[in-house]
Amino acid sequence: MDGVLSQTAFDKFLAYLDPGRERAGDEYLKLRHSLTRILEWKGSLTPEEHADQTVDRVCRKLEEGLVIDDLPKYCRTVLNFVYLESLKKPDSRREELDEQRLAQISAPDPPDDDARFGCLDKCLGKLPADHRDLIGRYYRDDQVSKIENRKRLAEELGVTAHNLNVRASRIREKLHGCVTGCLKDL
Amino acid sequence: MVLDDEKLMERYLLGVLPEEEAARLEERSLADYDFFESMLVVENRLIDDYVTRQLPARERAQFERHFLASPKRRERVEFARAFLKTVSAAPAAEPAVVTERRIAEERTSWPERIRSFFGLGNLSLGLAASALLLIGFAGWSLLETRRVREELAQLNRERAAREQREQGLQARLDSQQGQNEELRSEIARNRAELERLREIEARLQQTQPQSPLSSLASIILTPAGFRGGPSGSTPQLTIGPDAKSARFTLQVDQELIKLILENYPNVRAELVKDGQVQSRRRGLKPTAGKAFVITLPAEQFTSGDYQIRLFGSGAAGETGIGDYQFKVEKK
Repeated sequence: MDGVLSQTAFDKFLAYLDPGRERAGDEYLKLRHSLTRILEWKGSLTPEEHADQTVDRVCRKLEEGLVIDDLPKYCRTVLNFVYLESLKKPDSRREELDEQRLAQISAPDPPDDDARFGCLDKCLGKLPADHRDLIGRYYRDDQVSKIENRKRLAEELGVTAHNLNVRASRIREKLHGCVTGCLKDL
Repeated sequence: MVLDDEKLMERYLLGVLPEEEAARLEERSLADYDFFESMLVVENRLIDDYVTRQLPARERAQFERHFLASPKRRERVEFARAFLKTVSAAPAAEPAVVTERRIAEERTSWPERIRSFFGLGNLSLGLAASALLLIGFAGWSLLETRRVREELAQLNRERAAREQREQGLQARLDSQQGQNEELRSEIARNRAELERLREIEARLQQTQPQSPLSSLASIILTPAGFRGGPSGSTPQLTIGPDAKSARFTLQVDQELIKLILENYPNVRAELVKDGQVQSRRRGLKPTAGKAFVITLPAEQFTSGDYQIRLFGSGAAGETGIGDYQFKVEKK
């Protein structure tokens, strides 16, 4: 099961995603993103690592000659398998949420985390101006109702409300990644 | 996004969606990236509602019990708190498109701004501008020199990293090229063997004894989404008038069987037609560690499309093991 995945196996997997190499690369990144978040939702402590393990195992099965009619369904099965295996290994990071910690997180006005705010400012500064503008207006907290505010913003941008929500979500995800990286570097 | 989908996503994220529906939602997220991105939107909304104390009490309790149980998700909540505090408190941003009026305003007002910035009061505009230019130029030179030096250092680092990476790749390539020939022959041999085994399996499936005089109709099934019948079509079971029982051999991936027995040892099967459960079997055990076999009365079947769903449960909860689709032809 372990060992370096061959280029042939990975190429076969990419071909399953799309016959065109470039599109296959895009599809792979999307699949990996989805796998990572699903693993996070399931409670994986290392979702990216487990997502890569999932892809590796699917690639190996393809290399062995398995014919897969429904790749997303198969990936989900393997993902489940990888996750369940991980539960069998003891991991000190798997901490229970005690009452004190819950009280901290759920407090109405907890003390500010200076490091996090510092990183957030830094990461906001790195965003393109139009992204910063969109995020600022999307999350504006003023007298106008949020729904009305976002409806107006969507109309101004010429997109649907759903499309606007997705755009804001992507920018927020990028920010979150940046802040996480920044905090690790501190 | 459909409201029902949103509700399903919310329930999934709060950990209250039944396992089977959760599995379907996860499969859909993998198959449809737009759907997946909608999940992220719902997740953000849930987190924001929690942080701003807008979640109803029941959902709040579910959120704290399930969503906050994961360190990664707790981190998202903490990020959301800081994020909302920062972006919602910022002054209303002007649109990124700058109007001509605004440009004109800025052009006419900067001399006053500069004078007041330096406290130059009534000094002439020309003197103020010259002083500013000199200071600006000196500062720019310093910054520019520093910037160029930093860029050079960065380029050197990148170049060194690339050279190292190239050397590593070349070494791997040399080693792999040697193995490639061997692997190619082995792959070709394995493929030929696999093809031979598939043909045998297909022949066996087609020639299963389904004589009208037989009292037992039987069929071997693989899970849906892995492989269909010999030609990729749904397998068919013919049940003759004298058949008393129908026997189903449900194949399961070897590695999965081991995992199921360790974590979800209570295996049950449901026979489903047109979305309705027709019958159930509990306490199933794999035969020879390879497949689950269930036998059902032939009389309960009519012609049509059927599905057998396999589930496992144990201390770790419940999980779907596989869906097996087949057609029945009742004679």
